[in-house]
Amino acid sequence: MVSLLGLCVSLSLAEALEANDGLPEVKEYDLGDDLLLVVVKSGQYSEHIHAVVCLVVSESSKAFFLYDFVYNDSWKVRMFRAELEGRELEAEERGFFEEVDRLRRGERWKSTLES
Amino acid sequence: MPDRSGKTVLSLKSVVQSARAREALFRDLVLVGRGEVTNEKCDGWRGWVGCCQVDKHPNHDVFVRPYYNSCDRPQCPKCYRSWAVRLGWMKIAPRLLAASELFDSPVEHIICSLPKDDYDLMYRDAKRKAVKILGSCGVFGGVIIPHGNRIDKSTGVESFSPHFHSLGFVSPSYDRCRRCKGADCYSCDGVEGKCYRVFRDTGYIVKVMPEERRTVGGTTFYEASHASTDMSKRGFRVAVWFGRCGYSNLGVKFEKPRFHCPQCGSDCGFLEYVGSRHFVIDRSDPKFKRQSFEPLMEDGKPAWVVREFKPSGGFGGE
Repeated sequence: MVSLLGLCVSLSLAEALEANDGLPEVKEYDLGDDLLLVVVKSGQYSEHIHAVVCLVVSESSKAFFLYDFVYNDSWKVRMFRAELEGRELEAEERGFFEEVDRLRRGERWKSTLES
Repeated sequence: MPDRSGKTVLSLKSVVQSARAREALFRDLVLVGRGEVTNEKCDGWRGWVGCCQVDKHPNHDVFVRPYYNSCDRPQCPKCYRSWAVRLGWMKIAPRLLAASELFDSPVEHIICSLPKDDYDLMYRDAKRKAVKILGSCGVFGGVIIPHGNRIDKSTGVESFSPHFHSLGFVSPSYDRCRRCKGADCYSCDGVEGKCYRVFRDTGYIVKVMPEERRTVGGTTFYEASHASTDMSKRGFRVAVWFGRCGYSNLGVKFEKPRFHCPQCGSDCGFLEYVGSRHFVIDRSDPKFKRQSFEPLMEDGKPAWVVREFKPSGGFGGE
């Protein structure tokens, strides 16, 4: 943690939240041990989710940003969703071929509801 | 006066016969992306596209995005994925969604498997027959994509199993079968009943997928990315429209999708970078940025200049 803190840039959490004022969604999750996860859903440049894990030091009103990452909806999240959808479609296709093989063996036709 | 002699008829016959000879068997179709790279520039970095209207952007930054060369051929091993994206998301999905509004019917995913007797059909004949069979099952319009092979998951062996994937519209609506609590499908006039009767009479197995589509573009992209294509034909159409969604039947016109600035909504144009910074343009690099806002000025001089005022007609390389 000490080494992480050494690498972090200290910023005022109040300032960070103030800068995000007016954006559609800001959520805070308490992770315990003075750790806070702030998630900002932003559409400023393109649809993306900005997540920051920070260490809150109550005495100094300063927050140390430990991790700062952006999920850009326009590219990486979209590709992840496409991948997920591809897996679903693959499973759907596999199910169809199981049904084809079953019917080609001369078994009884089943409706989609039954299968 | 046209010559009505037998010679002309014979030559016409030979033209028809030679055209038939060029037709491929369904068996001869191969998976997309298994051809040769015909252009060395394929998938190479081409330039920048973006929006220089800095007054409309916060911090007065320039919106930039790299774009890449693409031959847009399904045969090309480098460009077939970008071809599938373009086909799925920019060509098929908008047309199907417009048709969905027009017919007031959801887009369904239908698969049609050929019986073993028809495995040696010419592709053109198989396609026609499949469209006819789909019509008998209540599919009145849509797009079909041929798939020649399938991979057995347990053995990993690729085998010939011709089938067509179709995204289209069904009448009566498949929601009736979807919500059915269980009835005698064999005598019902619903889609399931029609599919059963078609199987009994012809051996074709047609199934409407029970799940509703998450996204039409995603489904089409997935189907196109492992479709089959004819390597011998340069302009081979992988996706073919039929029925009421046919080329001149739908009556809906589309504008070519343009790439807009996500901040101000203006049409993007070609840009040239004249600054001294280094940008990561390798798409496999984790530091690669798909799009970004960059400062216009560097060392007191403009780093981005508009290369051409013509708006970019598409989404760059992908």
